Amino acid sequence: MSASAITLNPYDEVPFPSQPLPQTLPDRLAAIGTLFGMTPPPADRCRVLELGSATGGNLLPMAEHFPDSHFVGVDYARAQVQAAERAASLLGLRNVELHHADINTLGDSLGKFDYIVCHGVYSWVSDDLQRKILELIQHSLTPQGIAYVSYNTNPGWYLRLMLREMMFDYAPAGATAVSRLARGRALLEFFAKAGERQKTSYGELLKLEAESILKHPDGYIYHEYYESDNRPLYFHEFVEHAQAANLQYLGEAAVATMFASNFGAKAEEHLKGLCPDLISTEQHLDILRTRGFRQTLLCLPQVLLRRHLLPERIESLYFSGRVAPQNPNLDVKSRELETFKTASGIGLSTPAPGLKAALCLLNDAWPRAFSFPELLAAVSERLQGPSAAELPASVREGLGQNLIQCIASGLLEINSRPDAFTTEISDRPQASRLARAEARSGSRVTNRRNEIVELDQASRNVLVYLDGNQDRASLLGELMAAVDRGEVSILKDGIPATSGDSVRTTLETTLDDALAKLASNALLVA
Amino acid sequence: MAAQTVSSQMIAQSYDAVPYPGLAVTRSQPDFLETVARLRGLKPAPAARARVLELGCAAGQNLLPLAERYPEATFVGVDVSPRQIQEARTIASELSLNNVEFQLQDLVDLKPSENKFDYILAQGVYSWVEEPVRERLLALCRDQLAPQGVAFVSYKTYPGWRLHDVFRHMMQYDARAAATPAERMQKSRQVLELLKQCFDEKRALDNLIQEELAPLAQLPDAYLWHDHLAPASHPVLFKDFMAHADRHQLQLLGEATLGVRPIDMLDPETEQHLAALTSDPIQQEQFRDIIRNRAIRQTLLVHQTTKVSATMETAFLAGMHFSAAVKPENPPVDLRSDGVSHFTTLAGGRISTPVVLAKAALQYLGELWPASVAIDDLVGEATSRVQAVGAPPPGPAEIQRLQDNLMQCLVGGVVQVSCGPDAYLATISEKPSVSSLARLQAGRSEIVTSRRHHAVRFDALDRMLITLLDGTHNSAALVDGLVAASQRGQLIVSAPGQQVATPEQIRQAFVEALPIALERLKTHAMLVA
Repeated sequence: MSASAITLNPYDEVPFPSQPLPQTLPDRLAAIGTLFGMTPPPADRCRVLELGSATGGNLLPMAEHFPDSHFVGVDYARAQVQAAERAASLLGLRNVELHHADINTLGDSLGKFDYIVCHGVYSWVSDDLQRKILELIQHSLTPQGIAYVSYNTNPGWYLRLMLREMMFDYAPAGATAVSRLARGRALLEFFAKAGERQKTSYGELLKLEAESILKHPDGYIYHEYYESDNRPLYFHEFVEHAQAANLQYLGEAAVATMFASNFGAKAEEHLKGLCPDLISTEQHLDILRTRGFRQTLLCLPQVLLRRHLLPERIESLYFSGRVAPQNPNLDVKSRELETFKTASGIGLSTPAPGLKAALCLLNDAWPRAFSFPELLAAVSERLQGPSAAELPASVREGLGQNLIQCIASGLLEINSRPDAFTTEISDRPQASRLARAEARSGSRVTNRRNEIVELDQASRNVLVYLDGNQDRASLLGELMAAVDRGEVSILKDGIPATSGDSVRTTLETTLDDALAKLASNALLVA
Repeated sequence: MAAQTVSSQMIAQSYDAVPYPGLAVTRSQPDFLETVARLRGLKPAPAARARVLELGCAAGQNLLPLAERYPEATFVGVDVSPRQIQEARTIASELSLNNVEFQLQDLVDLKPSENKFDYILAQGVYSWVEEPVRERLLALCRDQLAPQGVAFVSYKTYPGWRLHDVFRHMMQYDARAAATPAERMQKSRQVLELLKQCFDEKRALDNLIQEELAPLAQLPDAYLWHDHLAPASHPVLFKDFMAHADRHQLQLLGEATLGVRPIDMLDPETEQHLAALTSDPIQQEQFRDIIRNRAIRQTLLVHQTTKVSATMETAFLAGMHFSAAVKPENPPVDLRSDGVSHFTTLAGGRISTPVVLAKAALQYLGELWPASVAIDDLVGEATSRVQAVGAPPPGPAEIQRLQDNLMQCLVGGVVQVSCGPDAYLATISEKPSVSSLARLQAGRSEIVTSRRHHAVRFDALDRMLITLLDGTHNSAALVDGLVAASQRGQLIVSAPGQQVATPEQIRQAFVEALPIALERLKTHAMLVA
């Protein structure tokens, strides 16, 4: 590919919004590897490669997160690589390398990697480039390394793909992105309304699909719907590609989707008779879910994976979860059946006092993660039983088994490393440089869980000053200055107030609220 | 991943292993194609003396009834399955049909005939073969079709087939290790069962899946085999099919699944919106498919050099025969005044008109059904009925208005037209007969082809009766024949509350059933004399 061909990249025209992806963090990938019997390299001292690193929205927070690990990003859109380089130097990141390059011509020049992330690329490139990506992963992974590849899957795209073709025909290439987007949106609105008027199941579906596309921002629609090469494939086909490239299926970033038990007893029973192996089971689950997207983890074929989950394998991991007990007056010590639910509606009912205590603890401390020994100690303390050291082995194993069940059902998150944030508010609180820089320019900031958090004005104003040198008094002073500049408004009896003791009292509350919000959103590092 | 290329040999093997239980394709019959073409201003050859080519003729299920019905027309059928061609030839020779020829041939190797064909039919081929064969199929239509001829090409289309692609993919995936067709069938039905069992009624897609699965689960193995387990399956978007036709200098005449109407409009609001979005008729039709979830098309093509009228003109109705299954709602019909009269159709539709001539015409058509009448005779009869109650003879404007009304009824699907006279009798003669093919079919299967080219499913009594209707038996002899069949154990008569009926009861049962059965056969257009 010639240099001029590289710069004529559609991503140079409308930058694809580059976002942090918590599920690609090396410590999350390591935890899943550990779950299935691997001994993945430590995330705090590893080498990470991201193929398609765009403007660095995912790679840079990771690099800041793990200063002793090395991060390499590759992208073929020059404008995006340059934007990422500017951001890296602004943040003073010395452990990031960014390359403007074509995956086709990359070869082995970059060395070996413990973790390789390739998000939002595979479904949009040619067969040939798909093969190249998998080959590169095969050649570059260290023996216990893990690769993450996301792609669009059938059957989730079954109707959207056709709508995409209609949009494409109705606004063919050649016109400006803006006019193509306008025509595409007009067509989708037509289909949504016409579908609704049909009063059929299909018409309803057409409406839902058209509306779900319309909800996306222009940048997303342009790339997802006007890009020349978006070809969803079936999961088993992707696995066949991986096997052909001498790679092994490890699992899914969303681990819970691997287990038929989450689809109900009926489906589990049916799938047991129908599916000879894990790939087949997951393929059928994709059909039942109408799955449109996967984030598959691969490893080298020599790795011996253990599909039967054992408690001893999770003892080195960290656990966190927002799992609200449905009964506000629950008694952890009783053997009453109690139900816990996540915000996304995943539920679990258990009579086991140990598990109930663990889930209550995790929920109260969210987003804090606990190691297995910490959890065990806290549980024994909560149950006022013997100390963790004196606990019989069966209790330890029982908790392990219960936690495995929670992981398999998607109730808990697992991690190979302790939190990179604190939920305590120190005398001189500190946030990451990245978050502070983001807070200066907008309301969306990246937290230490690699998630986007939407902040209110006051929290933004506090966040930008959290460099670890300001105590409470100087933070208050900064807030007061912001009020004076008119950036933060304090209403007193409905009228903006500018100075005086009453404003100070209000600002103290504002500061407390903001710090609490930043702490609970994993934005404080010290 | 490159799609696996499927050879014609694999397709032949698939059809030899499980023959397709093909049926007469009602809207591929030359008389229908002729009618659609005439209504758009073409002058195609009359079906009765036409040359007809069928590509992918299976065991002649479509061509044999046509060959029998049109002894002066010539038929050529081509198929790649030796077993099916052999079956077709056997039946043709049993019926002594000399005007039909069945060729065992791969379309790609088919030698062009010196004489062009007036009608070329390809049902269930285009989407069931690989690209070179599809290419050849449309090339044959271009090269072998007479200047005013019509080609009928059916294909699977999107979006309707999109979901079935998923079913098909999973059925094939589950059956990948199966050795025999029976094992493949059994494995592949399991995924249908899984989807049925794990249904979530809250999701629109799940509801759609259930709707699409219900008929699929009922489908006999042979259909499932050739639609979902066939070696090749290539549904196409309408616009892509038309682009392909365009490359072969063929243009759109109509859509047989819609009847004679050139387009099937959506609701007025959607149509208005659609017209504002695009003025390209192919794109409009493509968008209608997206909204309707169309899965199958039977598209009619003609040469681009042939002039096609955009609309159906009443002038094109000249010489056509009309029929309609209509009944006045409140007989007798008032032919004296302009009061509105309502008629209901067999299909549950309703039509209302205050125009006396139109009322008289509908009244007459209802009396004649299922027989048809030539347009001049229809206009003549309507005129005399109106005059008979004292109205003055209608002028040219009123006659034109009647023709306009008939055209509206035609577009609305209330009346049917055809170019030729009926191929069936609308009365029951003293010694009724059905076609030889019908007698042969009735002895072998539940499905018999009517003289309107419908595949009709009959019960055991009707089928036994059909085998007896060779024109030599009167009612008494027919009852004897049915009694003899019951003595042979071929028909079972049960009397209420008793295990076994007495001989008298049996005879009496047939005496009572016979006129009803004959009436049924008449309505289904089975009787020829």
